[in-house]
Amino acid sequence: MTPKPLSAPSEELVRHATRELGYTERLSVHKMTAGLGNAAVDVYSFPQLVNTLFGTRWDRLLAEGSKESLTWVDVDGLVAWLRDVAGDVDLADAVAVAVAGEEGFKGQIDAMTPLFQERVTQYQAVLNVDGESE
Amino acid sequence: MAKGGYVGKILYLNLTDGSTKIIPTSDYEKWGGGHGIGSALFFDLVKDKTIDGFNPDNLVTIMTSPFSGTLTPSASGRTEVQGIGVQAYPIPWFTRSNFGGRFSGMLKFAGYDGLAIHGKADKPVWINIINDKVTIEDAKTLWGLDTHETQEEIWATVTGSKDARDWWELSAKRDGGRSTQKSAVLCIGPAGEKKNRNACLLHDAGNAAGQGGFGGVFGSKNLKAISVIGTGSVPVADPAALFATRLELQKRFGYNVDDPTLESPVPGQSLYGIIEGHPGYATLTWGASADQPARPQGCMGCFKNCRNNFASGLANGNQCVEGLYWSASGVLSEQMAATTLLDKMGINVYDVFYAHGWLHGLYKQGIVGPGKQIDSNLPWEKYNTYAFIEAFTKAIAYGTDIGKDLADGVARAAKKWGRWDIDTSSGALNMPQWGFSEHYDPRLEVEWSYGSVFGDRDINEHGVNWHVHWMPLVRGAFKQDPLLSAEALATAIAKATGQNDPKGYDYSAEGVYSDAKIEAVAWHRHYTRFWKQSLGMCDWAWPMLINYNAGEDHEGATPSFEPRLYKAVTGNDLTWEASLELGRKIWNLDKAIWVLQGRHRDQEVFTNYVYDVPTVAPYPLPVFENGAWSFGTNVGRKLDRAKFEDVKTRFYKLEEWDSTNGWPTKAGLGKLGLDNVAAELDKAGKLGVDGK
Repeated sequence: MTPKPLSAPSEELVRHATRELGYTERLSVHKMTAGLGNAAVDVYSFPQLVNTLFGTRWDRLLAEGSKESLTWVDVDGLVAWLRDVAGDVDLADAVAVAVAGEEGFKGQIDAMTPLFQERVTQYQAVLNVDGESE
Repeated sequence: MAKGGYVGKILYLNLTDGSTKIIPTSDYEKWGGGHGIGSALFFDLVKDKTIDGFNPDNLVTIMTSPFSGTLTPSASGRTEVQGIGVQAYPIPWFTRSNFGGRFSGMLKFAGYDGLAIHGKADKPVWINIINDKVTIEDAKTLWGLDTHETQEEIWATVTGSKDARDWWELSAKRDGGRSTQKSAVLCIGPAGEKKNRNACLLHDAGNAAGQGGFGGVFGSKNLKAISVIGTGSVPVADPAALFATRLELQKRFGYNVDDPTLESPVPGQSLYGIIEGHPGYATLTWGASADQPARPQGCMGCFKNCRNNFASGLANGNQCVEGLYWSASGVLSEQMAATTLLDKMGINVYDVFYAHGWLHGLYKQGIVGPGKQIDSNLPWEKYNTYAFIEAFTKAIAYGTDIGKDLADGVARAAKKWGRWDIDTSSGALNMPQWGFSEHYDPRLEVEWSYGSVFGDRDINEHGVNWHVHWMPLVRGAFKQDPLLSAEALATAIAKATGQNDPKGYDYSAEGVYSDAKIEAVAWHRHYTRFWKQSLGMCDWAWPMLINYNAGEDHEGATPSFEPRLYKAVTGNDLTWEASLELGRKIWNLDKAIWVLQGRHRDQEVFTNYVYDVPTVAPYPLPVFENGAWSFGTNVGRKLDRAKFEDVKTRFYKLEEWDSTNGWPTKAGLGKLGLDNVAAELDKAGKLGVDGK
């Protein structure tokens, strides 16, 4: 099923979603690398989530796309985290729809990439972030 | 006498009095080379095996193999380092590390099969080896320099600041030799000078002997560096056969850059390179080679050239986990700079790899920070910036802030801070055995974890792992079918090892405790002790149990090529079975040394999380369940304490060790020709009881 377009987020939502989180608010993600096997990474912010899932700095996702890193995240946990911790209900719902039916974790990451790209565009517009800056 | 891969001399140096002597290699050739000779030298020359790694009487051996400096494919450039380490926790065992590059070949070109370094200099020194001239030099001007600066200073001294492309005379003698080469330098950085337990030895840009803390051992000996350059050659028994075998191997098993058999769906992707082996694949920094001009770089004589040199000069020669040290900013150049900083400081990445993330979690919990339980003024609030990782890494190297404790190794720091039991029980600090960081999952890939806990360190041997785990994972990630079914894979590996029982490669919840698995673990210990660690065959090429560039059945070069290469270089016949038995002999000698150090069965256990915390993420491995083979996801798995204890009992009996304490027995050692070792164990009251 194709997710419906994301509605424009408020500044309040963007600032809330991109804030630095506390220990109990973290999300655990697993990076799969040939050097290590599965390595758990604790995510403490939306930008860090984008970096960990897609292998590039969050505000460069538009320019660089995914770097094909193999990252596994429990999708139900991610959706719940987006909804309850980041507070971005629209993105949470859209991710849930996009990954439905995708079995492999790579397929799941691929399915959610356009949604994150769209959301990053909207967040950047609100925050006036220049994606090309270091 | 120089013959068949050996150049005939081992150089012994006593730093305490500055004396040197030659030990004939022929006295030790029966051990093969590398690790085997190193263990035998240690056993003979160190009378009290219970000394601490920092004790001047600790002997550090730096050994080559008959293959070093020859055209033996992916086996020419490795150097084996041994001695009592300082890293393992709670007891720093007699241990080993290994590094690539060109040091081993250059040492042989200078006329030495290895170095044995005893004692402690009364001031900082470096060892200067130019062919047969050996001098111990004052290192006053080198002390304090990082590893790259140190090498540049030594090159300027040795070559007289000649341009790298110029010929230069090695001595004033008429036949003293000429070279265009820089000397091969093995050195320590600031971390080693401060005797850090996580200090490495570094050679060229990024070749490191990390595990064991030998950088700290060098520091304790006041030894800053060893420089060697030679103009000799290595005698090869049958050069034509060696050359032909190399060409055959490359043609059958190598990655054909013009017409690849197997290609990544994403060109040049490092992770896919694990199975197709394109040049430069071992640099695991995503997209790095596409980010800037780069060229593949390899160790001496390698046919794979798995690493890269980059236009930026950052992360040159790095591979594997080193490149993944820190990536929190998402900026590749900063990730590469963090890796380079580790090399320059001379820090073993594998000890500190997980430490910054673990400590950041403690910071988030209010345990780390200014005035907190673990007092630290590092910029933890800037964890995702290079400023943080630079400050963190330098704190370890120079022993400032919490680096003062971390310099003693992460495990000891955790113990000091009262976090060891808590965090190794939860898995927040994932150090499964001997205070070494988790590598592949110890609950699942058990030939890795059992081999590590029965030994002295994280084994870091990928020959099985590439196939049982990476092939199905990487193929699945790209929605491709596995290149071999789970059954065909397990069968092929069993055939290549000579065990012929595919159940040895069944990773199901039952399979990890089977007799076949125990035999697979033993095979792994014996193969690697001889072929990889004594003959210097590179972990990223050998054993070649399967090869995806070769034929439809993907049959690899193992076990047929290793004995052929050995015959070509040494002139000696060695059967596959005899080579594994020699590996078992070396493994038993090591075990005896650990027992003399205090090893007992009760110590060979994992930390609690391995038994108590189930796996979460999918982890494909072949499993035989309900009468059928498949690649299971293996979620929710942990080891069972009682079943692992039973594994130990059966493993000990297979090795002919006393199952009540894990000590080698007189009968078992006698069969291996190690009566002298049995006698020393008996004298120490640590000889196992036959048949028990």
